[in-house]
Amino acid sequence: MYVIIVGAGKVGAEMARWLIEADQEITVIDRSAGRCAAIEEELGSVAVTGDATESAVLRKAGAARADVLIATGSVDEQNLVICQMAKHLFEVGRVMSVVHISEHAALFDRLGIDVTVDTTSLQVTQLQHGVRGLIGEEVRDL
Amino acid sequence: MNNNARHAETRGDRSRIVIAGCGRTGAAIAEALGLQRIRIRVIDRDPEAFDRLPAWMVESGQISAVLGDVTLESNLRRAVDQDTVTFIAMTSSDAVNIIAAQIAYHTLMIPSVICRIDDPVKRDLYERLELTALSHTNTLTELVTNLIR
Repeated sequence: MYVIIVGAGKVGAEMARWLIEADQEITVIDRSAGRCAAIEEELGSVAVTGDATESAVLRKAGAARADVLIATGSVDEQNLVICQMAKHLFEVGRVMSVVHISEHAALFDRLGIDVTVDTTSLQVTQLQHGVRGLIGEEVRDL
Repeated sequence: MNNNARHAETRGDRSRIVIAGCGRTGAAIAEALGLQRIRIRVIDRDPEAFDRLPAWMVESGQISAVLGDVTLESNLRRAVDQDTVTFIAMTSSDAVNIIAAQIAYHTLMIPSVICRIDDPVKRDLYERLELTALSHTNTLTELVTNLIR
């Protein structure tokens, strides 16, 4: 399987490591030459420096033969545009995206993004779980 | 599609056009449409952007300024109501215009949505995806080519 990962931040880099570990072919796209160099230092020549909202950059990364694209950028509307270009210009089979503003999750679903991960709501749920445990212990101590 | 017939419906006191983005272009469009006695709401997240609007039109209520983030449905609902027939996304960011226009069209069900997309590749794509997409790049290219001819 060929996977394009947009964003070489913590999430993008971790996905890249995990997919290489699983013997999949990947390319990581990031605007920052520094982050791309760090990825290549660790994982070999798998990075393309550029703005993934530009179709030329997606093409250079091999979007035309990609099975999956994962958008992990920090700006929701850019992730949306990247996924829609991948799907409709390059016919990438499955497009996935993180969203940071919870309100955008339902919109991404409606607009045909195959998998949407709401990072804010994931973190809040985990934190609530942690706090709920503490409240429970307090209640037991009383 | 018969755009003329659709746009004719936007005349009259109750009808309303919402413009996302009060930069130079958004403000100029608000003024031009306001002069045709169309009621306009302009939404922008920067309160100082509204200084670009003609003060007399804001005072008379011809143009209303709404503070909000146009990438959020909850904020767009402050500007959009059942009388809104046309939505125009005119910020300087293609991605912001594309998300705002798609919320307006697919979620808020506004019948006519016009979206500024300066990248010609994205312009063609979203035209296919049902938005009316306009590009500075294409327009200026045409104008310049016509002048050279």
